[in-house]
Amino acid sequence: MSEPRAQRQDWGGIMQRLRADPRSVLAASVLLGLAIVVVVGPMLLPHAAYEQLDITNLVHVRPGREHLLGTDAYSRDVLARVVSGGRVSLLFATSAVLVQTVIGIGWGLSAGLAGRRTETVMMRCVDAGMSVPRALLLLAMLAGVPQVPLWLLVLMMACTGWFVIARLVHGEVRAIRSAEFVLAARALGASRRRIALRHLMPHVLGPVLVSSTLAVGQIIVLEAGLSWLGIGVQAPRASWGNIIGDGTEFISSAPWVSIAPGICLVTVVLALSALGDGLRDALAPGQLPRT
Amino acid sequence: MTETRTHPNDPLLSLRDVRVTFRTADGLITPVDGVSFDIARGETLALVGESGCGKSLTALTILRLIEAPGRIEPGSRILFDRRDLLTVPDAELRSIRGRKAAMIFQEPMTALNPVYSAGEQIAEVVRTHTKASRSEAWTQAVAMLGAVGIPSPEIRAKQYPHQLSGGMRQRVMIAMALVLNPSLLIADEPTTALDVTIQAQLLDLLREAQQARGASMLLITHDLGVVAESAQRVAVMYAGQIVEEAPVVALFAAPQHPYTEGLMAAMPRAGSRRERLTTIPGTVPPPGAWPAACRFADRCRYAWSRCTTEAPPLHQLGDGRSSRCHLVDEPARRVAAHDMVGVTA
Repeated sequence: MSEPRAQRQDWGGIMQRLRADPRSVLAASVLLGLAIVVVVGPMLLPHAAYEQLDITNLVHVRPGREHLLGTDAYSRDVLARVVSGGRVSLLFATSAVLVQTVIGIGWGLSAGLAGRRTETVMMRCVDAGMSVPRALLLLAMLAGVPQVPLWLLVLMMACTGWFVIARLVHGEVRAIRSAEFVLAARALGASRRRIALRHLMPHVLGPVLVSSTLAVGQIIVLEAGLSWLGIGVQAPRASWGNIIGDGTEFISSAPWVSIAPGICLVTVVLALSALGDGLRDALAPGQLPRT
Repeated sequence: MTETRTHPNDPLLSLRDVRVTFRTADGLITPVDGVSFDIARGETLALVGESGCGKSLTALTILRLIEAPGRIEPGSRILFDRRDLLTVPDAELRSIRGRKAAMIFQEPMTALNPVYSAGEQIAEVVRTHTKASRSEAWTQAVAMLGAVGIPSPEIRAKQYPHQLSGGMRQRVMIAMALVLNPSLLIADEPTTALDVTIQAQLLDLLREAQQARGASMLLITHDLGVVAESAQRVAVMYAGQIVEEAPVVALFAAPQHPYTEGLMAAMPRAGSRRERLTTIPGTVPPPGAWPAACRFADRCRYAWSRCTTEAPPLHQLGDGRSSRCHLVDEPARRVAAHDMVGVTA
């Protein structure tokens, strides 16, 4: 019998390896910088994101000294909108990921510790959820709601996104639930809940962290797609997706409206995926880095 | 909790006709098949046998730790402190595990959780069963580490299993088992994974701790040397059944069952002039492939026709001895077999 994999997660060592990886450092700095910009930016910028400056004279002003990134079809300052939209997109994605991670961990742990029949049913549900494209699920759910409040959108996003985490956690639990230290914990009187939280949780957190980091990027892209279709974040609230959507109509005459949020979006997603990869390598230092 | 009703003459633990089955691809197997024994208060019973004879499974059964596809068959009874552990509700069972009956596993490297320090693992047991605060539990854990002979326990308590030596890890396991003063210790090959000098130290530690607390112990081992040193009584297990039971001195003086005889002959002895160790031919057959009548018949030097047609009962021989062998009825055959060996040698 091969020994179930279980190792001590040495968070100090992980941080150290992460800091030694230039790719991760760059990605983390970019993300941190952007986060600071979107948090404090709206307080420093001269224009507000919703403010229509002059609907007759200031429509589609080219980027310049007055408006660094130009204005859009409603004479709103694009820079102000991109910063405010970044706040929405990033906050939206991180909260959705937080919710789906909690659901996924809970589901995966419970399935891994349940009886064989319950476990099968629970994991077949996950398979079913994963077999339907996420965008399709979201479209179906959103079709019934005319004006989706942001919190509901977050919930819907999370409800369609936890399957991957649940399957990941379940796999990890399966690998270590037969470890002798789990049996020893039971022999010394630990309840199922205590075993899940105290003995299994620490072992699944590492892989979950990697997966959730990557999931933030996916959700930003997904939200952008939905907003572009007009069913994501609702106007006048800005998100990177709906700013790009607003700009596509005038892409030949005023391309700057879509380009700026587009660049931000690509940058964040690339940084998140680089950081995710870096974390994966830092968590498993024995393995060869992915090329 | 203090037991108001104590019955010093009652056994602390009684197994009666314990049967464990496993559903496998090849059908139902019964690796523990009708095991019965008693352990008195303060007594150590050694359960002896080769790998695969069902010793460890019997130990896990006592605390109901068998998981699907394994099943403890109805009709089995495990009386511990006058309660049947096979019928008590789960919550009560959890309060017994670790507090009244604790288990020590063979391989501390895998039985300790690698993500928690030694002190945390002991404190965890305390906090599972008592209302002790985090710091109280920690203090108790450190004291316990000192009590099991770990030097500078304050420092060791903060170390993780991989930072400790094998012997120290097993001391930590023992500390986890002892910290709540259980009345029964189940030690499953507690020293097998360690080297010989450490083995002796840990056996001494276990025996002293057990005697100081008046606890009973079920000591599972395949090492008859360990038995002689630590136990008062011995139960020998073969192919899922108890084949012989006896007080330790009587067993060593005159083993009754041919299997026990074989085990003893296979023991290295100081001062023995024989160069080679005797072995029992063959291995324990896997459950499901056991001979229908006497399960030891195909490896037994005395076996005759009756052994392959009629299953021997567990004969009671008096003085707490028993043997599952037809030789009890026909002792002359044992002598005859020895004479034959004498002739051929």
